[in-house]
Amino acid sequence: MKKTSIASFFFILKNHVESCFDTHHGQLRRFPNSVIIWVYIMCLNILFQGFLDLIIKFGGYTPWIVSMPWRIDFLFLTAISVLMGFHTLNGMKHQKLDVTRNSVQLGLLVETALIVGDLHFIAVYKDIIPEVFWFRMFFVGLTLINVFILLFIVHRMHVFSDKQGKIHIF
Amino acid sequence: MDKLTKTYLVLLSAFGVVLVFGTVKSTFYPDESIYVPGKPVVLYDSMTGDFIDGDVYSSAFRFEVDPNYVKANLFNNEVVTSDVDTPDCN
Repeated sequence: MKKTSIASFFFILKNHVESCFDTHHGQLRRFPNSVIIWVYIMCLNILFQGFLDLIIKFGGYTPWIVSMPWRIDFLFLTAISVLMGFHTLNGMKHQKLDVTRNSVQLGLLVETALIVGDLHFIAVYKDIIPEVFWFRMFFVGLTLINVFILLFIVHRMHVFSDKQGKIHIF
Repeated sequence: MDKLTKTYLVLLSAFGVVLVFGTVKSTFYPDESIYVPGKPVVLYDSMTGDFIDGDVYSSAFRFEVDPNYVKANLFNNEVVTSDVDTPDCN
């Protein structure tokens, strides 16, 4: 029962992605469906995190959300992540997807830096603001999903297997 | 799909505003901290002129912190030590 529901969920997701991006044309037709679906999920995840980050930041000035210190460097990093997500989505809209080694490396580096930044923030401020732990661990979890998706792309597209550097030009 | 792209553009615009505001805020009105060695114990927002979640930090260290005591120490770069139960505020 559970397997069936997961399979049907992915079937719906596959149909949705196919209708959104016209995956049978352009560069996208060369990519496995699984890669396109996971990249799409990653884009949604980044979008969600970006909005949530801003809500938490400005919510700190209201009585309802705990105020946290400004981390402008971390916000710049999040902005880079959002920008990459935007360009990925925009490219997919035009049936293009960049899985070159440098792009994937940059993605991995940014996402890892976000995790490290959050863990460091938790370690430093958890005693002063106990809420920091769950607030930021939620983000760490979401960012970890992105890291796993990128690692899946590395594995599926053999991004690092070619010593010359694998570049997909269609 | 256009809606999603537009949502991304809204988010990017919002980030543009936040980054400019955040850079100005962090440069001219930084969040000040009092540290015990290696660890901040109190945060102070110099823009609003108030402590960041005062109730939270004081309960975390299991002693009441007098805001005036902390303010006085904050700008003299003195250190509040956590080995006392109640800081002498007089």
